[in-house]
Formats: sequence, C-alpha cells, structure tokens
Amino acid sequence: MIADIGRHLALGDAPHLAFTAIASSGHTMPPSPLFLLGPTNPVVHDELFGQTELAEVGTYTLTDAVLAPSGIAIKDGVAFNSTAFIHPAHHVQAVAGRLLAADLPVRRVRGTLAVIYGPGHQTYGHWLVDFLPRLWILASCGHDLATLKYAVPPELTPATRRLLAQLGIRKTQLVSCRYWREILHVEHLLMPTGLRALNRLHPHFAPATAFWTARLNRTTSPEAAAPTHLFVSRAKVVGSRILDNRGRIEAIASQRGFTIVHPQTMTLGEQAALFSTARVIVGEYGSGLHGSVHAPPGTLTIGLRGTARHPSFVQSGVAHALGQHAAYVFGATTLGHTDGEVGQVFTIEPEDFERALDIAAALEPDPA
Amino acid sequence: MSDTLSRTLPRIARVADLADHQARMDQPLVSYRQIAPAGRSPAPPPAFLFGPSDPELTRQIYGQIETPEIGVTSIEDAAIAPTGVGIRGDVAFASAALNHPREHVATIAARLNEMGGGDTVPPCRQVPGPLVPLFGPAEDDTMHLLVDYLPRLWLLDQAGYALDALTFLVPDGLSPFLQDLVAALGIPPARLVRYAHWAEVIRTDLLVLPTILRRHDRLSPYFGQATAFWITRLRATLAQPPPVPIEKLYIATPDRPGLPHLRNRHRIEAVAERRGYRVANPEQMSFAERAALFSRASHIVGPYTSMLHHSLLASEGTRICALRAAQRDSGTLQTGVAAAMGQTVGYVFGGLDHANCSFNIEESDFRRALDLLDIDL
Repeated sequence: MIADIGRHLALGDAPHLAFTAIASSGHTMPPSPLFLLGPTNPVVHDELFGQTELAEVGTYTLTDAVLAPSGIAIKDGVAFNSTAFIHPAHHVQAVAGRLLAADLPVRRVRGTLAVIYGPGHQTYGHWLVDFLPRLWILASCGHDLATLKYAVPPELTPATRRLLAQLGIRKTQLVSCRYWREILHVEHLLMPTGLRALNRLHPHFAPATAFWTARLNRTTSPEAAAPTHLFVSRAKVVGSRILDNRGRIEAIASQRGFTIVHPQTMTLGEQAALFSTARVIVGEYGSGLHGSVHAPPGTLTIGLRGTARHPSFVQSGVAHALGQHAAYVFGATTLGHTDGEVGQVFTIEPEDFERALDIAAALEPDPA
Repeated sequence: MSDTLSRTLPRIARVADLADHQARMDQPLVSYRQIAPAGRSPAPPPAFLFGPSDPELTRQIYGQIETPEIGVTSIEDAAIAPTGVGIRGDVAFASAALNHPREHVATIAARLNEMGGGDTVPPCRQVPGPLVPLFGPAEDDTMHLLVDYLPRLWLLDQAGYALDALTFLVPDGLSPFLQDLVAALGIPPARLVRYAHWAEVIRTDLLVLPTILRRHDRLSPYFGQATAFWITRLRATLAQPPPVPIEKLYIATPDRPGLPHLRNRHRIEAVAERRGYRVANPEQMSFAERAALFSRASHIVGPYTSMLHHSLLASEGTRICALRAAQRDSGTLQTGVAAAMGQTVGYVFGGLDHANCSFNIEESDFRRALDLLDIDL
C-alpha cells in the first residue's frame, strides 16, 4: 500500500509514526523576480507566479520501520510518499513494486538513523537546497547531530562525502544501504522534511542554510580574489542543457567586469568563500547558481535559461528566503536534444543579456 | 488680477531644447531649480504575469531603468503658447521633462506663425507672474492628468512657491470635469487665467514650468509623495475621509477606437462578479465621485486603461490586476503608480487578434490572478 505520510498520520491509527512540527504549511503570494527578459510564455508564468504553497516543516519519526532505496520509509506494509521528501507517489509505487518482487534480505540497524537525502542526490543543487538544510530541522527538533547516524545512498560521490565531512559528519556516522541487495530495518527512523514545495522555499530556509554554512571552513578561492560580479559558467559541465552562444555571452560578461568561474571544480569551502563576496551572480541556470546560498542579502542572481518548464525556478525561492533577488533572461529554445524537455538548446540574445547587466548595475548604489 | 493687452510676439524663429538653453550661461533670464536628480534603478516588478507575452513586452515591463530629473524652470519675460509651451524672444522651448516634445512644439510654433500672417503671431495679453500652466498637452487624458500634471503641485511647493498665491493658466475651454477638479484642489476661480488658444498668446514677467515626474513608463521616486500632496488637498476640500479598503472593484470602461478591446469581457465580468467584485464604470463620474469610489477599493481589476490609475486614490496595500493584450501598446505605467502608493499590481495578458483589434483573456488565467489577489489577506 502507498500512503501520503502526512495524511496517514492524520488518520490517527499509526502509533509508530509521529511528527514534530517546526512550522505549518501555508499559502503566500510567490516572490516576483526582479526582472524577466527575452521570450516568456504561459508555462513560465505559471511556474513563476502560480505556486502559492509553502511546505510544512518538521521531522517524522517511525519506530521499527524499513528504509528502501532512495530513502523511502515503509512501515507495516505501507510505503510512504510525500512531497516533503521529494518522494512522489509514482516514484514510491515503482520502488515498492520492485521491492515486492525482489524479496531482499533485511539488515537491522540499531538506534536512530536519519534520512537527509532523497531522489536527486546525484545533483549538487539538491544538496544545497533540499538536503543540507534538513540538518537544521533535525537540530531544531532536538536531535544531536554529532551522535546521529545518517543514511546515505550507495553511490555517494566523493565530493558529497567530503561535503558531509566538512559539516562535521564523521565517516562512522554514515550508514550506506546497498540498493536492491538489501533493505534496512531501522529501530528509530528520522525523516526530516525538506523546506521546499516545488519552487517555493519556506522562510525557515534562511536559518537552515545559515546553520550548515556556518559549519564550513571557508577557504580562499584559487580562481579569483573576492570578486563581486561572478559569471557561473557551465562550459565544463556535461549537461543536457546547452547555451548555443555561450562563448559570445561569456565574452560580454567578461567585458562587463564579471569573473568567469567554474564552481564544480572547487571545494565547498572555496565556493563558500567565492560567493560570500558576490553582489551579482549571472550564469546558465543550474546548481552552480545555487552557490548564492553563500552570498549576502541583496545579492542578485540572474539565470540564463530556455523557455521550458525544466529546470524550474527554485532559484526564485532561494533568493526570496535569503533576502536576495532573482531574475531571468530567456532564450529561444529547441527541445528534444535528449529526452522530453530536459534536453534543450537555447540562445540568449546578446541585447537582452546586456540589458540584464544594465539593470543589475542600476540595482547597485550610485558610488557618487 | 490686471491683464493688459501687449504688443504682438515676433515670429518664432526656432525650437530649442530647454535643458540646452538652460545650460548656456549667457541666458540668465532662464533659471532652474532642481528638486531631485535623474537616477537609475530597476523597474518595480509586477507581482505576477499570466498568459502569453513576448520579448518586447517583457522589455517594456522590466527594461526601463532611468528615472527622471525633476525640478522647476522659471523664465522671465516669457510668452506661453497653447498647451503651456514657453517662448522667450523668438525661441520656443521643447522639453521631454515638461511633456513638450520637440515635434509638438514645432507644430505649435508653425501654427502660431501661420496665424500671424508670416511676420507676427497673434496678439499678446500680459498677465502678471508668477504664472504656472496648470496642465499641458492632453490634459483631458486621465493618464496625463493623474500622472503628469497634478503631481506638479508638489514640485511647486518644494520649489518654494506658495500655491495659494500663484496664478494658474488654464485653457479657455476647460471641461466641467476639470473645472470641478481644479476647485477641489483648492484653487479658486480667481486664481485661474483662462487662455483662448490660437486667438491670443499670454505674456508674463515670470513663467513657472514644473517638470513632470515621469520618463516613459518610469516615475520619479518622489511620485508617491507628490501624489499624496494633491490628494491631501483634494480630500480636505471635499471633506472626504481617508480611504478604507472595503470593496472589490471591477473597472469596466467602454471600448476605445483603435485600442484592443477585451473580446470576452462579459464572461470575465461575470467571473469577477461571482468572486465578489462590483462592476463600475467611473468614466461618467465627477472626480469627487471617482475619489469616493476608489477610496473604498481593496481590490481593483479590469482592462488596462488609464481609469486604473485612479488606484492612487485607494489605500496602501490595495491589490490590482490589469487585463491587457500581449503587445507593447499602452505602456505599463500602472506598475509604477501602484509601487509608488505601496500597492500590488499584476497583469493577465491575452493573445491579440490583429484583425479584430481585440484580445481574449483565458478564464483560467483570470481566476488564478483573482486567487493571488486574495492570498495572505
């Protein structure tokens, strides 16, 4: 059986399931981007302006529960879906169906195990936006981060391991589950929610981000010394989205005083140091832009992107929660480069890009 | 007030940009008092956009970053042509800051020259200064009236002029609507000089010309303050209380020739009515009635026309939604007007049908906009 964990709890007949709330859900008017330039469309408008829901924030606790691949919790034959964990029902259904057919051995885990990751853990941006803020939620619910054990996926990248280590999570605290070769039976399973509902981030994203970024040992970037204007390049990223005239756009940015940076080649500490002095961050939409979580309030982040729904507009939520600005320049887009709308080739009109930089300059106080 | 007939004016030889003229140090009879310098800032973003758009429209909404310099020019021994164009000697002054574009002034000058039979323009009437043209081109247009002309009273005050001692120049054919408005602003008829366009030219020893507070669709950061100034005078004269947001208004205006009309207006109005909006058409109302209507508004919705600019008579926090064709046409001034008054505005666009000069608003988009207007309340 598949059930929404929140609704299941509300039914009142789940004694082994509890929820510690930090903030309730709600509806607010979405934050408006500072500007949009280039071709937009109804789909883009719906994404940017139509999402009013804020997530409920807190931690679910399950006793004697099973942990399935991608961090799905199962208790007494019920697999739980929830947008709070980025576990949509169709995903949980697929995982549960495969588990039923596999009849996997069970490994018991004593004590308390926290699940801070979920689908998308291979993507760096999800760690910044969805997963690391959950440490604050756990701490706010009274859990001692230094003594907790944390479930991690088997294919955890070395970069993510280093990231967790920098945050003070020791290797001995990590419990890896071998997907499709075993399932974990956990004595106490902690499932902190995320702070995101689609593109919207709960206002608690600000203290949650401050909580984990304060634990970082910031190191000076080898690429640049305290630049205030960054162009985050995806030239070294093998991705499904391609800015057709990247060279031209990066040349304009460079001429306008932006430092071209490649955060994916830097350590998290270096990234934190790099973004901490930024006032304007520009670049192709992607995880790299979410480095703005290290930047101060008032920073403007301009995402260059195609006109499809994907890759969404989480940057707006990040900016709003942190007292920053988000803006977008859209380019004419060809879809179907790979699968669906994920694969895109888009072209940013240099005139639109120049105008975006003009607006960014107008945001800054007049030196006179 | 003693007006005297004076000599005729020489033929207008040229049109000069007023700012250039001021910059020339050999023209001491023209002076300028700056109230605030020009600036650059991002345009206030609308709260939401729904429906189709295009790059030109987004550029218009978000791409204008320059705000105007504002101030007051005074010209000694000047003449005034129709629409408040200043003339000194044989030079007529053009100025975008005064809403007197060069082509407009050139047209005025040419017509005056023709009327004078080639050597002179029509006879002059001397009026003691300081004399202020209260309006400018298109004073009957609500946008120009609310956005360009009425806020200039604040500029005069800021420049040190006592409004109750100034004389204001108005067209002879001032409409009853504007006559009532002028009275409501606390300007008695005795302080008005009526000017018969094309039959005469007014001369004065001191012509005072306040700038407008608009540059294209961007407003001066002082627009809110300037608007509050004349509204306070208005409410005092009319004995109207401060605004109280208690009513949702759908502003329905008659279709205007040449402008895209809302093709499914009846459906949209029906949706609005079901959501608690009262459909109102303020076009036939006096200004006092309009002030009373909008001062009750908590929500203002309707096709984009200058009627929506009456939102500046509504409370801070009022929520506005404008429905308009997805094309660059009538501007996006409402965004700046709302921002200056601490209000929220969003837009729902409809695809333009060029053949019928009309647009259609998707009901789903409209409903979504109404949902947003009700959120957080």
